[in-house]
Amino acid sequence: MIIDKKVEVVEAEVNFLEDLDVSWVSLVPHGANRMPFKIIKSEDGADKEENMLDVIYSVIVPNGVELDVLKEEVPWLNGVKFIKTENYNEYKSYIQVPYDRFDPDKMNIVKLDKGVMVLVGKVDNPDPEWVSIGKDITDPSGPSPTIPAFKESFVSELNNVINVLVGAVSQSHLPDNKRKSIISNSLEAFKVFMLAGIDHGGFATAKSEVPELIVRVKEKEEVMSDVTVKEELQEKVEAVEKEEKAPSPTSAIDALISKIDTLVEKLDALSKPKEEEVQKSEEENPPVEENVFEKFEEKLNAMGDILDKVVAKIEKIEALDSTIPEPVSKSEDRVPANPKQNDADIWAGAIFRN
Amino acid sequence: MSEIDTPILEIKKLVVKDDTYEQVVFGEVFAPFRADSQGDAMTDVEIKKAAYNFMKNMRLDNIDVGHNLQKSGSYVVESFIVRHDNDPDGFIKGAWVLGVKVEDKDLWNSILKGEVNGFSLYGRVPPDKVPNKKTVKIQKVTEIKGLTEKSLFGMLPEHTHEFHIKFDDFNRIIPTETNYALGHTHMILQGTSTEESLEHSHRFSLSE
Repeated sequence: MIIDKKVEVVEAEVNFLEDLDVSWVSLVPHGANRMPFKIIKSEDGADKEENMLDVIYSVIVPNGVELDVLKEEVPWLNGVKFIKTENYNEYKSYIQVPYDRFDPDKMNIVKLDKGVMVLVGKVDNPDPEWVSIGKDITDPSGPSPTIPAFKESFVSELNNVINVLVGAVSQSHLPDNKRKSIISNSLEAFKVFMLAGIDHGGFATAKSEVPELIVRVKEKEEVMSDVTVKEELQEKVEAVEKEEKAPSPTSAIDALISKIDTLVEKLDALSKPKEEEVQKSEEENPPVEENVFEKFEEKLNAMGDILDKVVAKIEKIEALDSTIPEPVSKSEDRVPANPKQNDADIWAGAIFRN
Repeated sequence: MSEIDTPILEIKKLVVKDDTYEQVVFGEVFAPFRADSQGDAMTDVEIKKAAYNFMKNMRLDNIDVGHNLQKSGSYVVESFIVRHDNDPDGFIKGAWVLGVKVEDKDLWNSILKGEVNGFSLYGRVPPDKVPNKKTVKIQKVTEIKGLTEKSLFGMLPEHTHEFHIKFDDFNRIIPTETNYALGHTHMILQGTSTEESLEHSHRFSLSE
């Protein structure tokens, strides 16, 4: 939308096209006329669904949390009239609307303010007393709410958990009991989110998209890394991490040595055949015997080259290792940089460079 | 409950459901008496002639991507000349508008992301035709302030950005940045869509 524009009248030479025979129309990033596409929405099903309300089916309350206590913190919960309660192992589901009013495949689990989890779904002609998202629960300052699909919530929740865990582990000023409490609560909330999602629709469609979800989570990790590579030290740590993620040089050497030993043994065995076997072999197919030796020799040489490369790589890593200073962690918001950290520490380092 | 507060506006993340859209895009192929970025223009009469000729020759599926001259699987579902001023969709009177159905999911996602955002025609002028160059007085836009469209993709809630674009003497956009919204901005390097930031971009129009 244009709010204001300044124009001036100028003389320009313009080439007026005539008798233009248009053979192709191309979809391009930026149209020459500088007008973007207009995208229309469906006139039937989708719009109809958009006009349907996102009614709360049930409120999920983890075991150990009382609904009445929750109501004190979350005022809108007082307006919900529950018709029954279902008890699950890890949580209770306080139900507002009969299940048969929803399409199970299109139900979603959503986390609202104060972390209250609700199961929602589109309902046509809902009872006016039913509490719904958008009508009864909304933020007047923001745009109209849109319910995320389960997979969107899943990615978001997983990222939240990772961030909370990393934060709890890396905040050096936190006492251990507080740290444990944060981690425990976060994992508990995520567990309930997943279980409720599996117990009630949403997950059925999401599970077929697991590879995509994993890519999304990984993409976020990569973005974080991109954003945070600022300091030389971090770059060095990252370089070491990459090396560590590659197959271990030590194990590669062991494997090579083992293979070489095997080859040497076979070579020995072949180079000391029984006389009659040699004679027989030479009579049957002498050139093959020669080829076998040549091939083994070639392979050994190749193995030797690989071994040299691996040794060079180890020396490079050792050299890099010696240049990394000891952790400087006086600041509370920085993870100690330890190149010999385990996988969990690598995560922490990656996130905290944000 | 977690002691770490979860963002209250969690529910506002925009979700693009595939069945929400008909996967049809509308756009002007050419508008009359407006020089495009290459300095070419057409009269309304010539535009109508070109549009009718395209339809007459049944080139309905000659829709490619980035002028690769390969059929993309997309096809024309509507074609019309804008008849009146103040068109409700903002199209310019006399412009040739196409509605194209985009079947390919990846291509459609590119459109939603703003990576593909306009039509561009490919055609020929008869070789014996002498270029009709005219010096005309035109209204040259030097600056535009406006609002982008809402993002249709990404994990952030729906939002828009303000932009203030200036043009150089050759009618090219001088690279600039949108304002901050939800803690981020977008670069603007070319017309019709911003650069991507946090997995989304925004369309914007430089025509009224």
